[in-house]
Amino acid sequence: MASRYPLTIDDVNYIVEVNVGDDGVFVTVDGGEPFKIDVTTSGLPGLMSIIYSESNWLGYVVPESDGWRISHNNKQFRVMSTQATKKSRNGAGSEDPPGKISVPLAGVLTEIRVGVGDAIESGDTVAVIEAMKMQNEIKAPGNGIVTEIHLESGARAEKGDVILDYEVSESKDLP
Amino acid sequence: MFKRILIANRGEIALRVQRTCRELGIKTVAVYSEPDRNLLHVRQADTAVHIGDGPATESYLNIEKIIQAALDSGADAIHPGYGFLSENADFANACVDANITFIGPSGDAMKNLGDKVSARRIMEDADVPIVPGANDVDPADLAAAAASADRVGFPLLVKASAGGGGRGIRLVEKPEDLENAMRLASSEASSSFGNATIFFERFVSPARHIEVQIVADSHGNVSAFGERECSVQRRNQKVLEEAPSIAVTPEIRKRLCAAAIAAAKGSGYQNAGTVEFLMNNNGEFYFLEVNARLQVEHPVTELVYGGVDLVALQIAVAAGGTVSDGLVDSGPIGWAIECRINGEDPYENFRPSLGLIDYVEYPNGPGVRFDSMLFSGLDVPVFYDSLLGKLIVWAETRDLAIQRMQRALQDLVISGPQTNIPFHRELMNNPDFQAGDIHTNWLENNFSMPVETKTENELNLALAAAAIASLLKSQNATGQAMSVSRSSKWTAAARKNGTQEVVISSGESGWRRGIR
Repeated sequence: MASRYPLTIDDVNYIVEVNVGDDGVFVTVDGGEPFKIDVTTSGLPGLMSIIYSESNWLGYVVPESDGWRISHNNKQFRVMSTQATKKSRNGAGSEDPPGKISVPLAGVLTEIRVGVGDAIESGDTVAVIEAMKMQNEIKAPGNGIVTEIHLESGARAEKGDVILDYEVSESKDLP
Repeated sequence: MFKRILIANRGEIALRVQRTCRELGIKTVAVYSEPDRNLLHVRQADTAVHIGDGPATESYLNIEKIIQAALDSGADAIHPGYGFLSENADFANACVDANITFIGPSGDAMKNLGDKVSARRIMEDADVPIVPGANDVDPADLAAAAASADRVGFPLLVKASAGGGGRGIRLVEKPEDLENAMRLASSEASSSFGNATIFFERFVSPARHIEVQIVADSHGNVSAFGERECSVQRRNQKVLEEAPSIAVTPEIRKRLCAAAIAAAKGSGYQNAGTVEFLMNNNGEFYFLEVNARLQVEHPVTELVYGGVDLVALQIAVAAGGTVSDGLVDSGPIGWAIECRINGEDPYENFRPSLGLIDYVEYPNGPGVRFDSMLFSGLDVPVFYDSLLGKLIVWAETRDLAIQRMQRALQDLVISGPQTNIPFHRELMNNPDFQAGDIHTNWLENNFSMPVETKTENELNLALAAAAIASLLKSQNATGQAMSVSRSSKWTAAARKNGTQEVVISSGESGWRRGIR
């Protein structure tokens, strides 16, 4: 099964496909010739070794909010998720399914501005998360009524933790 | 001998001094600021004393707190390392007042050598060649100053007597610029150092920076351990040092060491120190200044003098031990080079680059020494200088030492902040450097860092690594088994950790980070 990742380095976009099969791992960049890699990570978080064409590649891969930072050969490579770069430019960033709002980046949830039963509108700030000493507002992606709140203000939250559920409403005119 | 030594420093030099103390069976006391809590010098010391917040003025430069820490921990001596309080006469005197041995020269010797005009006079009296110049220029008496300047010759430097770190220095190319330069240097000196005294010095250029390592005991003996060359400099900061110097013949070495010994004796110097000289292409050298402390680059001397431990000698002479008098004849043997590994981005005009060290791999093997504060997981604090470590190699000849350094630079892996390793690699490949055709302005005038290049292969593998990381992350999130390679369940279990994220921990200071 191939997994497809739109990635960006130095403002250039690439489509990268990874195919894990019985005969090894194959990578395709922008529909080119697939190349076989032997990849392994170690017990140390992020340390990745790749053997490609019998040459060794050692890198340290650190997740960032919009992609990956990779140190290799004492140089830095910033590989961003192309979607993330586009979305951050547009100001939105949520990939939540309708009816859920989750934490977009790890941090401390400093504020939850809504309660169960409140009506929310697209663009409303429902919560604030502090990460790397910056306050990030979490906005509602659509309209609805809050049905359940899963986190408390002051809680540490990881990326993807669900903050609240809401009942999606069709019209903006509902209470 | 001392029972317990407090090391009033941090980073690699604190570790360097600790190692010698441990070998000698002396207990160590570390001092640390709040953001340095995780550093190795704190963990490896026998006793660790918290002395204040991050800014150096509240911790490593705070004489009162450090003396108190020494008294509280029962230390009978203090080693100051380099930087911070190492050349502070008040600190040396405060140690004496508290009945603690200061491992270094006396406060008086520091004061006399720290003032450049007084140091020039001491050297003149001791028959040490100084840069031709004019001492004690009166900024108000322009006619006399102009006559002095004529005698010195142009181009010349107008310098502040209390100057340092490149401040209070003006280059004057022609007589009509003299008055203005004098006014600027004098007012800069007055506001920066509280002392408006200026003097003239002939501008020696091109010149090599050659310095002699000395160790003086309290019985009047001074040992000279040959020279180091530190001509590769940026903004008056050394970035690479070597020993011996390609430009120093055995005959010049004899004269250099004799001058350094005379300088030490003339100033009543004790303990380890460095006498710095400028040397022109004819092998003529002039006294520049004395660094009254252990130098960053001391390991290159240790390696070419049979592995002598200069810190052990410092401790021995501070405890009243003796050294032999004169030029040490056990070296130089072979060649040693040191590269300063700094947290700075050579592709962005050497802008500081600090932060979490994700991963570090130390170089090893024959002839390689890495004096460093680094470990995987260290968060390099922003309050101090950018020196992360010193990569030092030894080999039989200069050419072989360069080859070995190229290899060691390849073996050293630092992931996290950008370091100047790519710069040192370029330097090792530079034909001028390889030929030893260098002087103190060479780096700034003749060397340019090539723009960063990423090969197609490197880009493809970075993309592959990011894609694999994304795949592992999504598999991890959905609880699927890891399936990118055919390895055993043991590596699969380890690999699971590989997808964990680096997060900010809620450490009380906010400076500490860790890995979830």
